This record gives sequence, C-alpha cells and structure tokens, in this order.
Amino acid sequence: MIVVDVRRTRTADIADYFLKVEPNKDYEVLEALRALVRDEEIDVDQVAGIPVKTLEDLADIMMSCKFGVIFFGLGLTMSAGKLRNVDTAISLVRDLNRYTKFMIMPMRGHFNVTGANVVYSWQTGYPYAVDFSRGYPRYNPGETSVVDILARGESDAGLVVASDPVAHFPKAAAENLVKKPLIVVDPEPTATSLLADVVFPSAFVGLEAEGTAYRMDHVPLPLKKVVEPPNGCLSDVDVLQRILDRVRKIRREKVEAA
Amino acid sequence: MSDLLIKNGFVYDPLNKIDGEIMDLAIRNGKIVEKAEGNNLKIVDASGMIVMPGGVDIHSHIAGAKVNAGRMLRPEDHFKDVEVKTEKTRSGVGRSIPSTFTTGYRYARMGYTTVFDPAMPALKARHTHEEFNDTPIIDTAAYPLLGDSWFVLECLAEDKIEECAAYVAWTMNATKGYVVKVVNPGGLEAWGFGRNMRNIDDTVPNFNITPREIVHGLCKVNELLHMPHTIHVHTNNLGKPGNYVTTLETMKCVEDLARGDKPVIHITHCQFSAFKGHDWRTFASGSEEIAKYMNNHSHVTTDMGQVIFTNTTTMTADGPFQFILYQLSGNKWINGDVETETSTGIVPFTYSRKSYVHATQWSIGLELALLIKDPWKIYLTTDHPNAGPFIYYPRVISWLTSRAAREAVMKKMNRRAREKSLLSSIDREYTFYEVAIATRAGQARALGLKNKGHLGVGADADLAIYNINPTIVEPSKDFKLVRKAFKHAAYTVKGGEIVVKDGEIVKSVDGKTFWVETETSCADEFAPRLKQVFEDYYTVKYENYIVPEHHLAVSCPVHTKAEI
Ligand SMILES: [Zn+2]
Repeated sequence: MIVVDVRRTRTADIADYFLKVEPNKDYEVLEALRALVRDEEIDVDQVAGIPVKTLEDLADIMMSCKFGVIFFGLGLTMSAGKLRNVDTAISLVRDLNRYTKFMIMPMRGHFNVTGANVVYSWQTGYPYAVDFSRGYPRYNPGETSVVDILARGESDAGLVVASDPVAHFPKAAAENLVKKPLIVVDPEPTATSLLADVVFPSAFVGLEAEGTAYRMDHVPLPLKKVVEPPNGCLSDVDVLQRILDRVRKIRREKVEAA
Repeated sequence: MSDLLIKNGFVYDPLNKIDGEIMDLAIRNGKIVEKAEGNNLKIVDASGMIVMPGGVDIHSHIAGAKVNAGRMLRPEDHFKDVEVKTEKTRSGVGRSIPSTFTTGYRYARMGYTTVFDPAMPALKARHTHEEFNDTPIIDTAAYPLLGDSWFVLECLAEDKIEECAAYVAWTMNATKGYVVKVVNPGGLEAWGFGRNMRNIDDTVPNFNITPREIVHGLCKVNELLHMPHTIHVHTNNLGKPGNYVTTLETMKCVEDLARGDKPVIHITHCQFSAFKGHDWRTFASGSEEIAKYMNNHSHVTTDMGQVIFTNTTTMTADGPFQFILYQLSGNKWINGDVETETSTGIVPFTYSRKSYVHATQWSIGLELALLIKDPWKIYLTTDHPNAGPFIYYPRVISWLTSRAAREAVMKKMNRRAREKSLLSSIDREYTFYEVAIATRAGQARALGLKNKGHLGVGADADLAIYNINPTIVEPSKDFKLVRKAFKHAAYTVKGGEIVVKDGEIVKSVDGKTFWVETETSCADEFAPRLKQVFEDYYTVKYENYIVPEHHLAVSCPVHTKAEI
C-alpha cells in the first residue's frame, strides 16, 4: 500500500510507502508519473517535493503489479487543479492498463452519500443538485446546487436530512441556511441541528431501522434492524412520509376551499 | 375493481389463433373471464380499433447499476426531453436512458405492459429491484449475468454440471432473477486482464474452459432446472466484422441438446452478431446465412436489435466490445469490473444514415426479421438503448409492415449500403397478426409466461387498443397512420385497470416482478460450500448477497422443480 498525502496520516502509518507531496501539487505528481509510465525522461531532480528516483520506483511498482487500484478523495478533487487532477489520474490509469490491470475509484465519505446519488439518478436522471421548481427535474450545478442557492440567499426554508451543512458548507451559505426556517432530520445532534428551528431525532438505520446503503463502489448492502428505536422515534423514511402526507392534505384542503 | 367489457374490437391474439375477429373481451379481478357483469360494469367501445395483448419486451435495458451509471454519464441526454409532473404521474427525464417513472409511463403509452431487463450483475441485484420498485405500471424481471461467473467457470471446467446447476438455482432464488444470461462467454473474464475471446474455442485465461463449453454447459443446466426461458446469449465477437460465423457456431454448439421443436437457446440482438467481412471497409450483412440456418432449425429464437438513426447510449456487460465503440467514436466511456462476475461498458453513440456501416446495420436487423420466415422465432427489439431507444418501436413496426416505409428510409441513406442491401429484393410485409407475434405473443411464449401475450380466459388482463381500423387502413401504404396508432395507444389496460386513454396516463399502478423459484433437493448440502466461496472470493457476505422477497414491491415467483 502506497499513501500519497500532504501530511502523515494514520493510514500512512500502516502503509508500505508514504510519499509526502507539497500542497496543491497533485497535478504535477500525476503528470510526472504519466511521463515515467510512458518511458519519458524527467529533467528535474524532484517533483512537488518528491525525488524523481522515488517516483521512478513508484512507477515501476505500479507497472509491475498484477492488479492495482488508485483510491482518491477530497484532497485531490478539492485542491488546486480540481477536476483536472481527476482527469489526469484517470489518464494515468488508462496508461497503466497498457501494462497491467489498474483501476481507479473515488473514496466517498459521509456514510450513504453514494446511495443518495444513486436514487436521485434513477428517479430524476441526475445525481444531485436537482431542481423541481418547473415541474420537472433540472440540473445545472452552480445554479441548482444547494451551496450556490444558499450563497445567493435564494432559499425560503431548509430541510436537512442526515447531513451537517453548517459544519461543512462555506460560511456565507451556512449563515443563509440558518437565517431562514430550518428543519433537521438526523439521528444525532449536529452543528446544524443545534441551530435548527425544528429537529426530528430519527432512528439509526442499520441499528434501529432497516434499509439499503450503497457502498462507494455502488454495491448495495442491506442494513438490518436489530433493536427497537426509543419510544416515538421514527425512521427518516417515516418522518418524511408523514410530512409529505400532511403537505398533500393541506394542499387538498386549499384546493377544495378555493 | 369493477368488471370491464371491451366491445367490438378487431382482436389479434395469435396464441389463440384469433386473427382480427370482431369480439368482446370480459375482464374481472385483473383476469380475462368468460363473462363480465355487475351493476357498475364498465364498457370500452373498441369498434373500429385493433385489440392486442399488452406488449412484451424480452430485452430492454431499463434498470440497474449499468443503466443508472449511463444516466449519470449523460446529463445532456436528458436536457431536451422531460416529462412534466401531472396529477397522475411523477416527473422525469427521457430519451435514451429515461428515469424509472418515465420508463414505465412511456412503455404503457405504447401499449406495452411487460418489460424484462436482460443484464443484472448478481452482486448488484438489490439495486435492480429497487429501480423496478420505482418503475410504474409495467411488469418486470431481470436476467442475472452468469456466463463469466468464477463459480460457473470452475464447475463447468471440471464438468460438474449438477453443482453448476445448484449454483444457478441458488442465484435465481437469491437475486430474484428470471433467466440465465450469458454475455460474450469467457470474454468478460478475459477483459479483466485486457484480453478477449477470438472464437468459441479460445481458452479463458486462468480457467481451463472455452466459450463453447460455457454455452453448452449452461444450456444443460438450464434444462436441468426447467427454466421458463432458454439461455439468453449475447455472442462472442459481437459488433465485429465477420462475427456471423461465431453466431452460427454458437447456435450449432447446442444442436445436440435440442428436444423436438422446443427452443434451447436465444441469440439476442442478432443484428449485432450478423456481420460479414474482414474489417470495417469490407463490412457486409450476414443476415442470409443466419436466416437460412434459423429457417432450417427450431432450437433457436432471436430478437432483432434494430438500429435507429439517432443519438443513443450503448451499454452492455461486454467490456471489450464497448472498448471498441469507445475507440471508434472517441466519445466518453465508462468501463467497469464487477468483482468475480462480469464487466460493464457504456459509450454514447450516434447511428448516422450516411454511414455505410450504420446503414448496413439498419438493413441487417430488418433483413433478419423478414428473411426468417417464422415470426415466432424473431422478436422486435432495439436492444434498448443500444441500437436505439424503445420509443422508436412504432417506427420499427411500420418498417416491418410496409415496404414503402423501408424505401423511404433507404432513399436517404448511404448509397453503397442501399445498393448492397437485400431489402430492395424483399417484398414481405408483416400483417397485424405477425406484428402481434413479434411484439407480444412470441416474446411471452419464449419467456414461458403462461398468462401473458394472449387474451384467452385466465390470461392477465393486460391489453392494448390501437386506433386503427384494419378493414380501412392499409399498413403497406398508410404506414404513418400505423406509426401514430402504435405510438399512442387509444387504451392500455394493465391488470384489468385502464392506465392509458388517448395516449395519456390516467392511472398509475404497481407492476409485478417475476423471478424463478427453483426447487432442488441439494440446496441444504450446497449452502456450506457456497458460504466458503463467499469467504474466499467476495467482498460481501453470503447473507447480504441475498435479496429477500419482501424487498420486491410486488413479488411474483414462478415455481419450477429441478432435476437435481
Ligand atoms: Zn442488450
């Protein structure tokens, strides 16, 4: 196992090799590796703080293994270069496949975020940032993505399910979120739930409620219910279903009254 | 649910040999019955219209991991084709990879009520069923991919047919699958190491077995398990010039297993497997050879995989084939590897009428449907979305029923392809009776669906009414009217309820999911061995692999008793 990071982590401690890369220089390292895999020479002594000799060894290991995988996370997608870093990493994998079997896989965090993407996609065609305001699904990240809607202060209210945007979103977006009515459904107290107007503590899925989680390689896994949730505590599905039923009832009454 | 009476329609019900007779059909509790009655009997006047059983699609990629990856890959596919929500329907997006709700509504609008997805990675079965649960109206089923599963390859390499059968039976039960699906046998495993199978006697790397042995072995297994459908095979070398030879060899390799007139193998989307020539320059149609063989043998059924000139999304489990398409098109590409089971590939693709190869492919599909004499042997598909989206079926129907419709396309297509096409020498035009076979009766029979594809007493009350009067309209000339009628059914009835009227959804109901519940006498002794396989090979536990029956919104098991 080879770990590449800007700092030594616990994963790095148990790895066979650790390469410390200078911050925001991932693109350079990946391009250097591509050059080495393609048998090109590199005229510098080091790239992003890593000696070229080390990169040559790394390229050799990658080319001579039987089956390799590159896992990448937010460090690659959110540092300078962003999607171009991922693009280069994919190209490196393509180059490596001329020699051996190599794959690439994004490391998704936040429990079942993959499951959310999967369900949005089959129901609406789009993995996230879906806007229904025109009566059909629209997708235009930057315009319809939640961070941008919040940053522009366009929302009237927020419903947050099993997520903690206050802890993770840019400050301006988080501020606009809590300024307006905010409802949170979450099994645990979070920075967001502490600032919410209404909080529904929900059952823990895989403990107090059953369901499905999608692993980061999109393999669906069943989650079991092993104990009863505390009295009155509903699963997030039930909470949302009851809200939906109520909304429909109010709407029907309004239509009938009119 | 009140009784329903469909009055005075021209009924086409080939399984009961009814060819356009004016009849009444009575429906009670979701079934066709002798007589409808009661105080609130509902009457549908079908005078001057065609009545057929609900459409059945034997091969359409509508749900599951691969389809969903296609949706994620192609937001541009959805932008221009949206379904706005209504009082009765949920919103969605469409074109070549529609969202689940849209898929159900659009099939129902064309009078289709049963659609089976032909490629389910067993490891991701739960995903496929979750999508089925969100696909309204139509009945569904999924075919687990078994032709490159390590366990199958190991058993067959050692000629352990019964052990292989025990595994296949267990997989059907565990994944709630319906058909044994084989895609480029051995080639997908080889693709994991950048290789492929060149012919059916090539050896699979790391396994001492050939595609011929895989197909023959699984065909035997299929018979042992008394599966309702035959093995469903996507051939080796699919999409490559010269592959018609491989296709013929694949058909021949199970000739010895044929019993009477009963088919034992289904060669799917045959168009893609009927290519002649040595390369793309010498590319030509191999439809005559395939048709000749099929006309002389009764152990094979097939479906068209008809090409439509449009932009679509190709998606198969055939990783190496998708790699070729990626190289040919230069479009974006997904390539995936499903542990010890299968591979996957997705590439957006445009079939152009001006391209010699594409125009020839268009011709091959129709040549097959017209040269194979018995309509019970070849069914209408576009291998949705691989050769084109399913919304184009009415167009394909018009090409089958009208020589003039075919000529209208040929006039505008690549000249060399037009000159070489056999179509100019074929006069055959399908009758409505034959259309009913190709789009429902034949497919239902091939799938072993006893209550589908016909309108006899006891059948599921799934039917389509098309606004077309066969005594007035001449399909040969009025092909545009035929197209229009089949595009928007006047009525679609599903399980005895009117779900479509005048081409619009008036009610949404849940579809059922069919799966094969196979009874074997060796399940208990086999389980410990299988648990060990999961410990050794899999990243999920044996218990977590199984999709419980209650996970299916409407489960519809089909029981079979195996000979093991
Ligand atoms: Zn297919």
